[in-house]
Amino acid sequence: MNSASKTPLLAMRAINKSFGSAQVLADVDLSLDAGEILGLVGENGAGKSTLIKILTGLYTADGGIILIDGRPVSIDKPAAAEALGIHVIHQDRHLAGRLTVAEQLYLGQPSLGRGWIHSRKLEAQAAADIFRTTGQKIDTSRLVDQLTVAQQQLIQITRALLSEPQVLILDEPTAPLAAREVEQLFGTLRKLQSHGVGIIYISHYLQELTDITARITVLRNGRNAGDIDLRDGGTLDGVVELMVGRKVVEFDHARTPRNPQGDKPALSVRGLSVPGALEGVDLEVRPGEVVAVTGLVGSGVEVLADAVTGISKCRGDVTLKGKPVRAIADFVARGGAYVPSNRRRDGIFVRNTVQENISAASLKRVSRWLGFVSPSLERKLSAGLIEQLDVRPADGGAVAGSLSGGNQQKVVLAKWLATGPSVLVLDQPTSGVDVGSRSQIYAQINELVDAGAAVLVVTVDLEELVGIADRTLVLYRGNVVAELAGSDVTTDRILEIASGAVATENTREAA
Amino acid sequence: MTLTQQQPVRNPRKAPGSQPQTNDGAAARASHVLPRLIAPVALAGILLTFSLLSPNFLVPGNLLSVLSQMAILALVAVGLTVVVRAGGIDLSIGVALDLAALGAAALIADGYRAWVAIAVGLLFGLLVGAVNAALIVGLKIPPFLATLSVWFIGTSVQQLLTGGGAPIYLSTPRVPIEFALLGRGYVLDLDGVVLTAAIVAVVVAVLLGLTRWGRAVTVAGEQPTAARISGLRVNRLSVSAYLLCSLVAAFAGVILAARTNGFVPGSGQAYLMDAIGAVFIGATLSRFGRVSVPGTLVGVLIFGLLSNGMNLIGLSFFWQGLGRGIVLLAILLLGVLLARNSGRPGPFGRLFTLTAAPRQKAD
Repeated sequence: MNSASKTPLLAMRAINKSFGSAQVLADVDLSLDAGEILGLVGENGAGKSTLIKILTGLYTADGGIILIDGRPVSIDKPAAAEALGIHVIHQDRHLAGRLTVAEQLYLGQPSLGRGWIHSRKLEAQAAADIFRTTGQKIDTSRLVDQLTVAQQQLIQITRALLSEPQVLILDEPTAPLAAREVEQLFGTLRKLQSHGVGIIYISHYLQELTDITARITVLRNGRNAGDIDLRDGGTLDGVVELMVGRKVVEFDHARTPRNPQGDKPALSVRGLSVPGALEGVDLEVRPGEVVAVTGLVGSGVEVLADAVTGISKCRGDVTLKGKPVRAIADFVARGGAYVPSNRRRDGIFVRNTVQENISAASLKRVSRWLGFVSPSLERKLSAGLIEQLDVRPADGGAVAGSLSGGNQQKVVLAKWLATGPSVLVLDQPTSGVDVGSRSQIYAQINELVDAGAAVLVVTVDLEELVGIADRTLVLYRGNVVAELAGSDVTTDRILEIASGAVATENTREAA
Repeated sequence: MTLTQQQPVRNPRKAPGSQPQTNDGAAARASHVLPRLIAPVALAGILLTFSLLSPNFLVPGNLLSVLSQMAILALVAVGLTVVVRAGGIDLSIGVALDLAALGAAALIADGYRAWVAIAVGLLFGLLVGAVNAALIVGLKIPPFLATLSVWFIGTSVQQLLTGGGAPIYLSTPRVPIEFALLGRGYVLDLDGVVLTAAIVAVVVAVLLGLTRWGRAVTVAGEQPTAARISGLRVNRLSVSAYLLCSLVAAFAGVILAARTNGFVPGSGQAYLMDAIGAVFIGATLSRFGRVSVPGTLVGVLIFGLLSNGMNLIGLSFFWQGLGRGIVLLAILLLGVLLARNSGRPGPFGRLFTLTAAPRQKAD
């Protein structure tokens, strides 16, 4: 059991990689034993994804060697990595939306008979495979597009597991998952671990790492910042310090509770219903407070923000400062702002510059006569916000799609700060966002609230919610079943309610 | 003299939304830029090839006549650019042109004044755009199918209105001078239609590139949900794009009627394919595969100079389609190859998948 004497299953030694003049990885080492779950962390841009892309053959390293079972191997294309039993589950879900679950699951596998495929048999087999590997049930005749993000991820995981990998890499696997799904995922991973599979687990959710990993490799600015062994007294604080090279206070647990300004709600939702997801949700957000809504995946938490802001069709009344909202255009016109959960599709304009993104919701303000956009007004507007939010690179001309996730989210937030919103709705605001960017985003939200804005945060990140919410509503099967405030708001308590573990008869207090 | 006349089509390199600075190395920058140079290089190649093959090619008189021949196509392609930028396509653009030409010619034939004929012609064309907008925005029919249907119907309508496709010929003495000038006027030595097309192109280019409306149409075309969330009225923007497209095409139709002194049913159809080709050749000039008026004009020039050159060297009409096809394919192929070498999705990866999720950045 002495790991020092064992040959590691996978070893990467002195890996170097540059793009143009920018060195992304400098002499990075990584080693992974069979049956180990290794945490790999670092801020966005630290080089994690590049390292993984080298390991999976998407990039070739400029220098360094990769050893499998002590033998040097050459991984020059993705097929080579797969032949060596290295499989990766990407953060972005590379799925074909127009296929059924079963078709997607077996896509590219030749073992499905010759030409004629019995789709019902295939679907049954797919359902069985998914249940066996992940313990979950999905209607495998549905289209991939119709699934929730969590369900789409299950397909990816099952796909990877069907090929019986030796090394499995998970890049930010739990970002879209709620607590119960995370537990199920961990169960699956532990099962694999006991079969001797080596797992590299990349996550921004450090708390999770203590549950699933023993050793954590930390990267910073393309170098090894160090390894932390949690069994030898390593702590998460140590990990965070290695990651950012400084101390970060992510949540101000000791903060004084905010006082809502006035009794009139800025945002009021009555009887909001979405078929199959929400059943008559009521909620109010007053100026100067943060209300969080949470729930497990499937509780309706995924569709709530879209319904409130008028993006998706729903029944019920939404009013913003007393005026009805029927469509997203009303919502925005009356001082609403919405940071959606699918950042790359709905949040930023990937093919526009940072500057153009920031002005996108305030085009009138940066226009002159006849509707001409004034580049100088636009630059002035964005420069201040880029600095305020510490967007990197601090260049209004950079293409938004090329920024890291955290910086993209800052750009989305900057777009709304430019409008001076009175109601801000955020859906999973820090999913896939690094620790540093996260605290900057929270700081901006807090500032906005102190200035009198009403904020509604929809999140499945319980730590986040405990940190910033004044009141927390918990969704269970499409209904708000509890409202928590003050010291009631703990992750344990929320989890109990959200998973239906406690009777919720009288939990909702009078607001 | 000739150089100044080419001005409107010589600014494609300064495409609107000029290139943002990146902090990549020089090599990386070259790999971004290289695929975007294909169309200009092809244009230069065509100029060079035919000037070597024919002594009559690279002379002011010939180049001026190329511009004259291309003016109508340029107008149609500019109109189409607007719709493609807004995330759609308009296969019925030839119908808008035809109906406008029909309306104008018929009214002139009946002795109406020039401005009445022109206004009615433009309205006929706008009607096509309005029907498209209603089908696409109102009824949510995919643009390709909606405008295809409108093309079928519009083709039939022309036949019916002209009593089975009989051309309308205007007798020169009865045509008002203002109407004749629109199609056959000269400003100094320059064909007035070229000047008109240039003015329209500049106006549309400015609308798309420099105004709030252009910015909004562009993002609404590329990421409609994100645009909606930003408070943009995506449906209205889409309607405005189809209307503007048909208006420009209708203007081309009125000019065509004035130029040819009549109306031949189905003549607009000839412009559709060339216009689509020109618009998407133009898209290679942008690193995002984004269509633009300057890019479209480069595409139009490529087609125009190619046909003219092939005519001059005496290539039979039957071979000319082959020539065009090969040049178009070569440009597309080079785009794909260069994009592959530079390791990023080329412009063509996105032309028809406007909602596809873009690649993630190397973290």
